[in-house]
Amino acid sequence: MASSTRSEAQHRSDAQNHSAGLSSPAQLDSAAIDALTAGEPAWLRDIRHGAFGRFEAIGQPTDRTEGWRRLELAHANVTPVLPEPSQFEVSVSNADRKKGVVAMPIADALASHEPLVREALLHARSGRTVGKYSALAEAVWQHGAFIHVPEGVELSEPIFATVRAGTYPRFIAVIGKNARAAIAESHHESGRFVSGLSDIIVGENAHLTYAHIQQCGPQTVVFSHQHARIAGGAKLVTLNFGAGASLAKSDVEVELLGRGAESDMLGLVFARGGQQFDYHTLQGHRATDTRSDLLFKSALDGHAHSVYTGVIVIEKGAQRSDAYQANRNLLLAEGARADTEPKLEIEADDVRCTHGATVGPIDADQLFYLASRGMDREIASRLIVEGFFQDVLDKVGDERLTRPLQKTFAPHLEQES
Amino acid sequence: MADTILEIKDLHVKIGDNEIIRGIDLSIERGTVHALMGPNGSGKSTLSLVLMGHPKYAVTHGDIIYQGRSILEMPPNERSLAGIFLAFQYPSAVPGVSVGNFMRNTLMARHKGDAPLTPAKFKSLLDNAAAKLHIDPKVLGRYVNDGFSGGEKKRLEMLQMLVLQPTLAVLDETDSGLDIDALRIIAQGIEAQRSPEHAILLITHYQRILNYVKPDKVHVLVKGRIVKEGGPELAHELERTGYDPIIKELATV
Repeated sequence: MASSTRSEAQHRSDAQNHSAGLSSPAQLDSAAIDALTAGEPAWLRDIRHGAFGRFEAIGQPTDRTEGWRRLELAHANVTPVLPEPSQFEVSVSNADRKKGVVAMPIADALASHEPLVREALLHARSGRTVGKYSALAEAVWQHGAFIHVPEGVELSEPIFATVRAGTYPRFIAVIGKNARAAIAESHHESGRFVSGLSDIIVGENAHLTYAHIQQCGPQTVVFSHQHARIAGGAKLVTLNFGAGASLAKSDVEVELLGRGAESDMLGLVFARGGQQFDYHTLQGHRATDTRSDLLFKSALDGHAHSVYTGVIVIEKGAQRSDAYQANRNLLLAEGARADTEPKLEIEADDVRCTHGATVGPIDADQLFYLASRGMDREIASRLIVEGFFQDVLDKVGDERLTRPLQKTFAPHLEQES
Repeated sequence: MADTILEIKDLHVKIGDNEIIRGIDLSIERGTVHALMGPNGSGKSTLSLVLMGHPKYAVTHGDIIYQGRSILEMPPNERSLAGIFLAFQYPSAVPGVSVGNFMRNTLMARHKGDAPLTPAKFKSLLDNAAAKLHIDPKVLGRYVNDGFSGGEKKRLEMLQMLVLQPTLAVLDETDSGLDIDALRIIAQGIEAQRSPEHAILLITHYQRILNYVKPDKVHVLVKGRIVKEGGPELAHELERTGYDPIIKELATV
């Protein structure tokens, strides 16, 4: 991975220069937003104030709030914290920079790429279930990361964008027509509270593989709202990897906006102890001949809990849409729990749409087979869980993005390669 | 003096309330191949799974002595480490786990504390076994039994046997569902395992495999009991007559 980190140092120093002008407000109010956003274009300040209004209008969730009922909020502090800038380290190879690939703080991109940034920010929307917190992130983000892969450019190396501190990370990736890219957005924040927003825009006939990796600290409450828009003939492959946080709640939304657009949505959760994961996904078919395929898997140990709610929307007129959704949960301990709920909203008549969900322990026959070859229960379970995840990683189809993740759940693989 | 590897004494086995094995006595000596034949539903597969320690079956009476000690309380993985191997009739698929990774874990389980198995040694072990069974080494990169044909699954079971070199190999209908070429390859695998050190219990419905692997003894299992024993000629007799005369004989007693 040496080649992809070449220009990291350079970008990091850019980031520090920029952040010198930022400071944290004393409290969350309209005046604080004015102070945070001094010097920004009027349209952006309007967006921020609008979003802050929505944040204030939505009440703090309780375990009786729709979309939150299955979570245990007694031990999770979901009260927002004051904004701290989220500085991404972004690695882009020099070869790709020469092709015009751009990675910079959003604040800087406002000067150099205002139309693209504006397009991305104007289309942002609040997540369905993390609406209050995504609205807050939209209002108070600072710094952030903007990545642009221009029309027709094929990335030679994946771009890794990593953030280790801050509270409201804002991420934008714009992939031009016919471009080809692989991008990983990795979160390692360890404060009490994080709410992030990611907007992904995939141009006509482009191909993007995007991984959203959440390895935050064990005490962190993490909200994430990801919204992707895919133009005609383009394909987006997304992976959501969840391993960190005490409670992580995510909206992952993909909209297929042009004819023939395709989306493969993959998810992989490895939960232990008392961790809670909640994923809400949207497969939005808004055009004809679109295809979406979703596979979210979780392995749950200890008394971890996973909630999955998946919506497939096929708009009237989105004929010949093909949608598939599967959620598979492996319970590794008696105290672990998984809730899964598919939802279909189909208005077109000529479509194919199927879904399936499973929740259960490791297959007894598999365990016996491995035991009959001398493996004890621990090794056998570990191997079966690795296999359970490998299936998802294979579907991502880009080892450069998935290989670093394997060591999270299969540390021994490191020594063997 | 014959060195007895396995001694089954008046074994009774139940699944739920149903008694499937109803008093089996069987001794297998080192260096020998025993064939256990019988019609469907006679308890052949049950016996093989009980020998490996499947938790679904309850031994209600009798004992299984392996190399001088009872193994009834021994969990399946320890039986494996002690040298017992079962080639499954229907081996499980383990999606996402490559044959290579699976075999490495299998070997590491029995070499705890030893010098680590070098990648070169590991590769040569597997390549040698694969060559004997005409298996394309590419299979090592495929996921265990995932999308394998019936014949491929049987060959992978044989591959594991040849790599692990078990003291006692129990082959549960490894010959069923194979065409003649595949059958010959499986037979070669069994012959490669045959040695003065090893014992083999070959469980089969048909006599066909015994044209290629000559057993030292043949036992016939019907309704959970061994009803007839003999030399290789017994298998030929069964091939001619089928199991019906034996079953009728039992009914009239």
